[in-house]
Amino acid sequence: MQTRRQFLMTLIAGCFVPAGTAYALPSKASGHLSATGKLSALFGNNGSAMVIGNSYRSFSKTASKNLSGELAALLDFISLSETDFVSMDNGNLLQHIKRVISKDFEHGNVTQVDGWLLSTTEVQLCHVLSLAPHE
Amino acid sequence: MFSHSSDIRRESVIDADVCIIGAGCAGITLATELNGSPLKVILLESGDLEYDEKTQSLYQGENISANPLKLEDVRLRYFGGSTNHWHGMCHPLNEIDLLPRKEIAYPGWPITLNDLTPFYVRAQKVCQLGPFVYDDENYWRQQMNFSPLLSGNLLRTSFFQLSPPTRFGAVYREVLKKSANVEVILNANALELESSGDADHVTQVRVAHINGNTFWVKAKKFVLSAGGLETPRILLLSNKIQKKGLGNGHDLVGRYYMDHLANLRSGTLQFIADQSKYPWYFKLGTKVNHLPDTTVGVLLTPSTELIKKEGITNFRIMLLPTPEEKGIDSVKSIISGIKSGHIPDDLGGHIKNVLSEIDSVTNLAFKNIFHTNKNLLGAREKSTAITRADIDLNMEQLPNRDSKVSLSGQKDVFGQNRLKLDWKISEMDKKTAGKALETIALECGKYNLGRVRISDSLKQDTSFETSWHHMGTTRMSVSPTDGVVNVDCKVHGVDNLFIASSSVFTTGGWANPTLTITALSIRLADHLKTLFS
Repeated sequence: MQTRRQFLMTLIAGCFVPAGTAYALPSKASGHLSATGKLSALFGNNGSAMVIGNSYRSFSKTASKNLSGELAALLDFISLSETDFVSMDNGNLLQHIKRVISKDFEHGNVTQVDGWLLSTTEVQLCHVLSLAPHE
Repeated sequence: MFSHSSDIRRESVIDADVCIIGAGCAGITLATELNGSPLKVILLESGDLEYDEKTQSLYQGENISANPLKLEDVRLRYFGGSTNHWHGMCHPLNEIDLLPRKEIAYPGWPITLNDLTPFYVRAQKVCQLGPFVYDDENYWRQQMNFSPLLSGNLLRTSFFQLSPPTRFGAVYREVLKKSANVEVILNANALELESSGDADHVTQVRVAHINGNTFWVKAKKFVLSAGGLETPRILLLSNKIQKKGLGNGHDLVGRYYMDHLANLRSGTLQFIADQSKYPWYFKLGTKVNHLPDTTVGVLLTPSTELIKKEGITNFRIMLLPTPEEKGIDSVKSIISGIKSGHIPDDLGGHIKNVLSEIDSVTNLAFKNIFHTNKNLLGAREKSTAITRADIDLNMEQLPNRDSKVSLSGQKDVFGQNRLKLDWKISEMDKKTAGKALETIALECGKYNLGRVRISDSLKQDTSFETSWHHMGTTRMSVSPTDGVVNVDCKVHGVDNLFIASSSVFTTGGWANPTLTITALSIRLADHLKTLFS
């Protein structure tokens, strides 16, 4: 069983492996592999997420560079435990995030990034992705 | 019948039952409605049948407001008036526009939409429009296979109709030319309304050709229909007895000046997917072939609930498609840009990239199957795809006593004071603009249509442009302490002077004013016929 920190770092480490490549990596522990591919599969176009995340961080007074802390916050935003996040298949996870984002807009839970009115959750997603080391 | 002021004997007096001053949409509508009646009608027009620079220059004036508009550019001074350059967009006022609203400190319209509706129905024909059907979504769904872009509670789809546009001067010239009881006098500048007693009755109007020939028209009833700027000017210039100007006992003539506040690029809407399946929203009008004279356009407007809940004025949003930016999905170039410290100025394409991935499981499958970083939409969009639109915002302006026109110290060729415009934009106007953009952003986000960027300029007075709609300067009211004309468009305290113009509008709604001006003019024509009968 991974610790929370191990889980988060594993997740982060896989973020910026281009989509597709993640699935061709040499086999690792099965839990590790699924976590590694998770965000990568969700965001094949990491460059765009980075642009948004970097732009957000350039003006935000609260956004930190503490990757594990920001990732934990993201999981809080989407109301998923680590276990649920890992076990949920990507299709369902996308649908779940989509619903959370829609609710954000319904309740006015939004953040302006360079004039763009974005859901706080989607900004946090991009923020986390932009913090991760990339190739 | 048409005549020219230069042919009229100097210093002569012409008698009439009704004298109409100004041959734009209102004046021509009135004259054609009175055509064939037993009344002798004189219609005075400052210009000729065609544009003339010298006459147009009479519209010059002083503008001390933040917006640099020129008074001679925003209207036309020849037969047909500003209908010679209007776009033809028609919609009646909405019910809420005519109701009292707590945000508006001054009394609202003393008439309701029901009072106006029969005249709107008749105005449709005058403006060469189709049936009097506007915001009935089911009706247009059947007529043109329409489907809505948004179906929320905050924003709704409104439908406007497009006039050809009717050039009133050209379309109704022959009718008036053949008229036995209406005489149109061209090149006839109304300089002053002369009154008797306590300035409670107009006896005659002093008229002059631009080269100096002066004459008078005596009439039983006078109608000022010279537009939202020139109408108050003529009243203010008619000051021999009432020193502040005719009908201006309460210092209201020229005040409450309103325009529709326009910002063509108040924001950007980045769609997540191609929205070409909603073509009605992206063009000025769609011809409905099986309905005569019917071209329909579509826009987004606030629900009554939103206006009440947020305490804002009315507005409308049109979406103007813009070309898609290129190369945005090149991950390598983005990452190398970031490494060198460069953050692209425009996030729109990146937002679409990210959101289209969240939006589409298909997209995920596409990437997994084909081992590509490109998202499905980004890789396969056609050149005609509509993925981005500028947000064209046009808003009702809050009536504001300090927003006004008055007489300038500058003089025209007749030695008369020109007009001075002090157009004020209030914090409330800016609040409505911000709320309009926020609302479309939240709605598009909620229904996952796309994301909105709000222009930084919205907080500045200068970001709003004129729509060339001049309203409110002789507003309608029950009491003379609240406005200049009564419910019959008669000037308070003057027994035979009426106004047919957008200057009587108490509020402006979001609808372009021509259809309402036409409806009010028909209503006034009916009223005049009743008075004479």
